Amino acid sequence: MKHKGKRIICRALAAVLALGLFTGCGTDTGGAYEEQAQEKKSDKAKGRYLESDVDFPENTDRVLAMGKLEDGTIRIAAEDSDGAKAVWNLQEDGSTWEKGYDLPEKYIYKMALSPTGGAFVVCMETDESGETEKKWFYQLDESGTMKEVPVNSDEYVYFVRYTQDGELLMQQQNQPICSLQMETGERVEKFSGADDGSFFETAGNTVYMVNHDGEILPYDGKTGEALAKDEALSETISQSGAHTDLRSMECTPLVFAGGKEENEIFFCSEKGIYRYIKNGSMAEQVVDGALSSIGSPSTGLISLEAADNNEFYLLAVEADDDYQFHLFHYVYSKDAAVVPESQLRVWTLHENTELQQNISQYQKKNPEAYVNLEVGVTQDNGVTDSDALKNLSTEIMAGKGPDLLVLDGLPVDAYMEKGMLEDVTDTVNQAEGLFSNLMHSVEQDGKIYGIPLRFGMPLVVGSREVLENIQDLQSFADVVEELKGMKEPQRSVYNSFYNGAYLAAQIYDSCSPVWLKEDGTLEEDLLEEFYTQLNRIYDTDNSVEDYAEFYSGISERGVYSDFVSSVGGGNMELYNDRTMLNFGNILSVTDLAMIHTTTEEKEGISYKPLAGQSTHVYVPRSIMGINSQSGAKQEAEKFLAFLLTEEAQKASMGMGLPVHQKALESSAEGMEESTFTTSMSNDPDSYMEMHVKKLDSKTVEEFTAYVKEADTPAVANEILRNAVLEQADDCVQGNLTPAEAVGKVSEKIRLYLAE
Amino acid sequence: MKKKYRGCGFGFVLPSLLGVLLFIAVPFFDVVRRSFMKAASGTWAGLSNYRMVFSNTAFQTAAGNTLRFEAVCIPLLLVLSLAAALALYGLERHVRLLKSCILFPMAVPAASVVLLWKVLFHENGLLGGLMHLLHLPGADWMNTPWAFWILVFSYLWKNLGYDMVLWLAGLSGIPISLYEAAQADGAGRWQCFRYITLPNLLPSLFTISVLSVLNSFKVFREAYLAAGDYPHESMYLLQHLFNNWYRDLSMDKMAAGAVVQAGVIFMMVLLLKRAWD
Amino acid sequence: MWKKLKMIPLAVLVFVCVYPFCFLAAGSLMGKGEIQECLLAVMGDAGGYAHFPWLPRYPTCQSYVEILLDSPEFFVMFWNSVKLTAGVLAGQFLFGILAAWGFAKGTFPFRKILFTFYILLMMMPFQVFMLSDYLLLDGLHMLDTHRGIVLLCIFSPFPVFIMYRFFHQVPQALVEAARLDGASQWQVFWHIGLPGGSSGILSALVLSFLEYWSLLEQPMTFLKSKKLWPLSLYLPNIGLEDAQAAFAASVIALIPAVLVFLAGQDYLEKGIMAAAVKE
Repeated sequence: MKHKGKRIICRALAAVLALGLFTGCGTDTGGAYEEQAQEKKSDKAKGRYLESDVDFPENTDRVLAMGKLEDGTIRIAAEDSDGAKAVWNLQEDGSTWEKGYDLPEKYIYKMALSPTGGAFVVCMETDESGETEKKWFYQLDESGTMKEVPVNSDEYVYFVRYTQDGELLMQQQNQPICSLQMETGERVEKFSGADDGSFFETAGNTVYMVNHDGEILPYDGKTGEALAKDEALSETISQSGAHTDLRSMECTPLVFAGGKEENEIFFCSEKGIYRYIKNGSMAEQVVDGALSSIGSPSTGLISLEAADNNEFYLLAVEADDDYQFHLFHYVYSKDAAVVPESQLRVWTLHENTELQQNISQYQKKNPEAYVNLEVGVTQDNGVTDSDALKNLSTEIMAGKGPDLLVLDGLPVDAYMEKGMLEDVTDTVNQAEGLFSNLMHSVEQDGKIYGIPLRFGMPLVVGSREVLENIQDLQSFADVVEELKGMKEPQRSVYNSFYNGAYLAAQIYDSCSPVWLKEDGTLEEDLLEEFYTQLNRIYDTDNSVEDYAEFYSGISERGVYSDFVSSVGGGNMELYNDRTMLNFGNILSVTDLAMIHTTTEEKEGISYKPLAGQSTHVYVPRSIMGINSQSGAKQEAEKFLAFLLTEEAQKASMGMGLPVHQKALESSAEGMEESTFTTSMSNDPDSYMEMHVKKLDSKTVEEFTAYVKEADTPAVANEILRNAVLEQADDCVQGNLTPAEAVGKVSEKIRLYLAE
Repeated sequence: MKKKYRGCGFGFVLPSLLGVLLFIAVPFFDVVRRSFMKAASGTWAGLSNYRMVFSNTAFQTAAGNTLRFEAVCIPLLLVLSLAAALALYGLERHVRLLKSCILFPMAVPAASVVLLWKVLFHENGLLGGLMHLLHLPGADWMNTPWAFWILVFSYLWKNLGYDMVLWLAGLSGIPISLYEAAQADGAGRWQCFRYITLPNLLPSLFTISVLSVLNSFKVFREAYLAAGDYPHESMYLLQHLFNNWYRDLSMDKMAAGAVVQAGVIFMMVLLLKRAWD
Repeated sequence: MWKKLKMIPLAVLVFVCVYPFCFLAAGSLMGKGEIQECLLAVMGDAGGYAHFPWLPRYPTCQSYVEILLDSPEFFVMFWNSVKLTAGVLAGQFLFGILAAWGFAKGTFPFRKILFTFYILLMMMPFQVFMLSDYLLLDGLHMLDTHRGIVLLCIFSPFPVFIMYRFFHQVPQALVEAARLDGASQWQVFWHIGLPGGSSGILSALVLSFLEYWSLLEQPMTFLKSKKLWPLSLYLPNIGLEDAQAAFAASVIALIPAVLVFLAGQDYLEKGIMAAAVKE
């Protein structure tokens, strides 16, 4: 009996190991790519692709498509500012264009250029009411002669592309990808199983369909037969971390192009341009996204072509350049250093797309520079904040720390104390156009050690009389209670979606600065007052039970995130007369525009900075510091100086408002009109919409005047914040008295302070 | 004759010794060195780090907790596992099965356990539900002084089986003849236990104690996964403190603290050895 | 009567020890919805208490499928765990056995002191060594590799400590007789020591396996690339949000450990029994 049992167990063990071996093997090749790529980078000291911009024909407003003729000529279809559209061919000199032929006058909303010289155009006309759309499909031959194609489908067209053989493939809403017969207008659905497609691309005669899960499925363009999935291709893309989800109908996250030989293809993702031999073992990166515009978060990829002489053309649109189209040209230069001489490492605890954007800008201006952004906690690696910080500590102590640090979430006091941060007062003083009052959040003995790139401010929006009475936290609570008596039954006083913790988060920044004494210990009386007033505010609006389900889906992280404490969301409610008061942090120009629209259109409504237990508070964000042990301090200071210029400051992506005054003003005034709607799926009454107007200079001036008055930086201590917010809910529910809540907070941070 | 053998056997130890020296002793001495220097600048700081550490309230709390934990856990574990071993020793049937079951927790990885603890001891967790059923007040256990006992329970749960097997082995090494002789002389159960069993178990005691202490340090893993950097005060151990000091770049304090801890352990080991030898 | 009474605490003990496994197993067979429903009170903010049935109401293998078939990284990590553990065990087998024999039967000077030194080093928790180890590995260019961690762990004094006890009680008479017969040190070790202490070696291996299979701190500190992570790091990062993956992953991670443990249990006991015999 004993022996039998043991044998079974041993066999089971062996089976488990075998299973692991078998399934693990296929994915084991992952490590190889990076190593090889690394080797390549270090072996070749010189030689890489350089980017340049090709000018479009004069007055070009919009570029509709790009393609390559069989003889290698690059073509585009462009529309100028007068609405005239034509196909242009790029000349031998690589910078002038010759017109091929004209395109129909009607509005073109999708088109593709055939390798044989023709084109396919989808035109659309909407009548005045904007309701009915009529579509026309035209085929043009090499000389521009137009012929209508009788397509009898009215579905919205997503993408049209040509294969190498000149066959047109089309993807429409709710339809699988089909091949269009030009003569008859018949749609041939020959790609089986391709109905979960997010988008597709053609490379030579192969069709690559990318589905909603990010899988890349190849099909034979001629027969429609599904081909074996290219493991190496998918591996490279997923390993590189490039996103594969479709975010707009103009650009796709991946673009493909055919190569010289049948089995050679090229593709471009946000990480760069790659060359791939079909069914090969790996895809090779040819153009590094990080060293070109490709890597910038604001670049949208539209079309890629590989020219015969190992050059590439990439049609893209730049979101931060007012959505201008660019035709990027990549040429190999033997003498350019593979990885530029000066390398800077920037470390941030959480993802920061704005900084990524700034880095792209900087690298474009300084081709010899290479700035690498390392993120401590990414979605992929899933370490905790604390682990990431420990790893950072290890690196720093080992002398291998980064050159620049984003101090958000870091134990800044500890770093300052240990002399880890470089004095950057000079950089601040030399920068022009900043709100100088916002520069003192990380300061010791008059020297500045950290510079915020962005900021937020607590605001309150409501009727003028009400606002006048808000001087501090207590009067704020008084006002809220008064409003409860005054409101109509179906209105709430404020946006009361949230439980105690959320509510506390909204007024946290306006109160927290006074809670810590000089020596870092807690001002218990003031914190107790905070909880007391919080209770009063909470008690005025008790529609919390309705949203119990709403909370349960939100993870812990969510409670303490930006979204909750921002003032943007609440605007909708106020505008649509659901609430009477809105408060929270302003973090973007959109928020300001929403507030502006609300104050313009609703009588008597105004806004002002929220005075809590502290006044004139601002919330510094994206605080940059330089590692005092860095070996590239000059370079780092140069980069830091760039981050404070107007150009860099304008790249705002939700981290906060720019600290550069002109950048703030110009992005405020440059804001387009837009419409926002929200609704909750199981509540038809919850639909709300708001048409946000453009900002006028008066409002902007008013706002910047408020900004200039701010002098108190918000407290950045995460541990305190978590401790306070954790007790908030229990406190408002009545499970804890304010005094008890303070006691708990004090307990929680006692250890932290003692260390 | 003995002289000829002097110095033999060293060759066997050498490779391991070299490895230990390089990979364990050297880093350890590096830590000792750092305990006498300032963190970032590397300047000599003499005993100031030690002074800082001893006067630091967090250190006192953590050290106190750690000592309390050891003082509570080790004897508790030893007694409980011995009791279990005795109970099992007398059984005829199902011994193997029972042993496997009780040993089982040892094989469970910490992370899996933490999931269960979280569900069990959360304010609205399973234990709370049980208490509710019994009309007893519940609480957010992990944030009260109960947290300490949760930690103790976690440790006992994991290591009870292991120690029990060690005791069992020790028990089975005692010749039955001794018991028979004693019983023939009229000795009762308790006397048998006190005068035969216990003394014969002494050799095992040293090994078991050392191993138990070793395992007690591993409980940090579960505590950290379950409650993060700053758990309830009663659960806050030296390792938490070192962890946090490390994160805040306070290498000097951490090194000094570590050396102090090493010193205490060293003395304890010496004492045990003396008692055993 | 005694026996019956004895059974009660024993039964309680067994229940407490085994329940977690039932919990994990049951949870792993539940669909996401059911798990959320049971644990809602713990995960979200609603009132009430969590409840957890013995058997799922709607058993489904979905979680297992998700992990085994849909997550390639799970198997990469599984394999990493195997690599690390196997590497460490192999090294310990090599160096540790020799050292244990040397300490047990050798007669060189300072033997006892060195051994005490070993014990002392064994007792140090990892935090103490973290930075210094990092610098050491960095100097050897072994950061972010499996080799580095394996190398660090091979020389752990723990197996030496365990095996020492077993070798110690190989009868000295046997050894001396062999030497009188002219056997070299190595031959004595090979023909007498190894067989005699075999159960000790196996128990050390089993214990080490359990230890290194769930190794947490070293990989976290020294491994940067996620693709090198062992299984033990995968689990903590599945929060309560994707609890169903956590359950299934836990059970799967458990299985090798349990198997090894069951297979080695006999040796474990036999060896320990032998060790406990008074010399």
